[in-house]
Amino acid sequence: MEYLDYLENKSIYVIRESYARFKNMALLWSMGKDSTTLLHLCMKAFMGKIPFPVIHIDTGFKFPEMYEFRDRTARRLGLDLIVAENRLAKYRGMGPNKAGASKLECCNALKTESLQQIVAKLKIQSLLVGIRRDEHGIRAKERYFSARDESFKWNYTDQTAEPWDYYRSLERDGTHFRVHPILHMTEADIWRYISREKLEVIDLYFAKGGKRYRSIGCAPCCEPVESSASTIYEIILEIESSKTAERAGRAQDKEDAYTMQKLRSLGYM
Amino acid sequence: MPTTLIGLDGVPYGLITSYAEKGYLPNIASLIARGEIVQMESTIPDVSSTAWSSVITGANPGEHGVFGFFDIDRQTGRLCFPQFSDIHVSPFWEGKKAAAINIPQTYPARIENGLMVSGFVSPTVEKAVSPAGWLEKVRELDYRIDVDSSLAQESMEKFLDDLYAVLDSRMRLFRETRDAEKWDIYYFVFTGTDRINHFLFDAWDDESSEYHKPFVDYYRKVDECVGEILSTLKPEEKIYIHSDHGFCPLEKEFYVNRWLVEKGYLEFATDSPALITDMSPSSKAFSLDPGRIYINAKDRFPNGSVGTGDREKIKAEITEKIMRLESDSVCPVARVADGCEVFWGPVSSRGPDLVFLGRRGIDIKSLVAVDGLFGKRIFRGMHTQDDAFLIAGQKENLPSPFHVSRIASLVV
Repeated sequence: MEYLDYLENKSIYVIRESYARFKNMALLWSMGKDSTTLLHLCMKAFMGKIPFPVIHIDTGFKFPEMYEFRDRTARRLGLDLIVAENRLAKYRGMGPNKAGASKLECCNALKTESLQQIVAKLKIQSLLVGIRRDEHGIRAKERYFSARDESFKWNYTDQTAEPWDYYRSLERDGTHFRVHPILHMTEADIWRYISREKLEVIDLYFAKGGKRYRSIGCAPCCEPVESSASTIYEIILEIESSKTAERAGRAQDKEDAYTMQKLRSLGYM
Repeated sequence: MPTTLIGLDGVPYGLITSYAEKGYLPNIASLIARGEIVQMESTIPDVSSTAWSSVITGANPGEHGVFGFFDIDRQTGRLCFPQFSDIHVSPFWEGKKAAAINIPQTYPARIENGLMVSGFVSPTVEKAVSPAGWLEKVRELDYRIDVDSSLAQESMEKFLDDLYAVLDSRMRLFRETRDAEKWDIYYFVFTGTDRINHFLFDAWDDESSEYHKPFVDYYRKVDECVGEILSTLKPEEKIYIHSDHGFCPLEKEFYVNRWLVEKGYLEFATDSPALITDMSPSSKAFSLDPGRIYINAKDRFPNGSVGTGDREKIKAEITEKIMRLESDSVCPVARVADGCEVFWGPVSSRGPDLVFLGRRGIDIKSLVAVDGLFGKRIFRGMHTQDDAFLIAGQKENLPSPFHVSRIASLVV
């Protein structure tokens, strides 16, 4: 089997498994490359018509390109798009530049609280989220089916292992599950898949004037990285070569020499 | 249910049952009497890095991605060494409170909830301990990850002394960690057994050998250490002891890259090659330890020369030719495993095209700085794919032969 087919199959299996097990399911879509890939996988899982709502948590601070892309894509795919926002917090002037408020407080009010409100309102039992294991150390601990308690807390020490595609997806009262169908994909996998499936992604990802965005969210809080990658192919090369560079430094050479000497002392190589 | 696992790297079923019967291993023998022992098959290839990766993930090499201790990088064409972070499947202890101590192929250490001290090959102690809070303690104990095997070249006595020194330091770490937390899984591996087997295995049942007694004494000492671990078991705790591959005496080594040169599949860019990466780009096939044969395909390696259409043809040719090779009227290769048949999973295409499994006593080596097809160096033991063992300290009616990749299923 092709590697990308394997990744796709695994994701679609998790999406369908979640749909079969939970009554109220929704997809969280941020218009970024990961959740747009997830959106596409949901289209494939249900033969072109997604049978559950697609939620965008709108802080009001996204890039203009993102709103344009959102509305155009929702129309084109016939999505049941729900735009959720914390109106009260916005009314009180919450934002990244609000005096006396930290960025974390801003995120909490405009993202987490909006999400809590919409989950409660729609009685959502499972929420598809496009996170990947390689994004950040803490996300490596995630499961495909990840329980959240009443206060939205994730207790990562209380999780079962998921060997052999065996998932724990029993619900408990007052809780909901975050379901992570693309957990196993890496950044490079996502770009390869986008390239193969010819998906449209927002232009901000491609380099202009020596810079590009590696991830996108709220405009005031996103910094572009130095890059000359202006095509998907160049982005994949950039990601893979930066990985090589990380591992090709002096320390790695020294470690490799040690490893080789140890293996040779046991008759290998 | 809390579970303790003890690994004895490279210890064969044949040795453990024989020594237990002779009374050399009283602690292990009494555990067998209480529970059961079965013979176990290892992975193909039967090398510790691959076998242990299958033990801790329950996966085929085509799923976890470790086919040996080293590979040729597909982008740079240079030698590279797969690390724990390259393993594509999570270890079975994920989500539990676990201690994973001295498991081979777990460098650099990384554990979410518990303690990991990596085993062979760990180039630094700093990155072999996770969480880092434990590093100072591990240093204080003067802990040694591995014996210095190069001492064996100098003097067998020095090598044996070092084996004991490493074992002592390992037990210091055991005493410090055993009750440090309430572990769901406590996994502790002894690797000195594999090391002594590599250099002295011919003495294991040869009482006339000057190294028979030192060999047996070391195993007695390991049994004593196992006994110390067993004495700390809680009544409700499950216990398993197992190895990762078998071992047998080594009669001679077969240098497969030399054979590939003679048959015209492999060429070197220099007159005195030191490593396989000295091969010239026109080469059609090459071998990496142990017995892994790769077709030098264009779509696989930066210096590949073989087109997609010719790959299967060359595989078939090599298989046919090697089976016709005879030495002392037997073929040195007992079996040629086809990668397409023995590997499955998303990264199976990274595995070797073929794996040669040596006849008992004939160790297949990828060494390139050799003159002839056969030779013998200091090594007196070699790995076998069959004849590993698994002991369950409780009656479980385990099927026999068991397989290393099923150990995870006993714990999860």
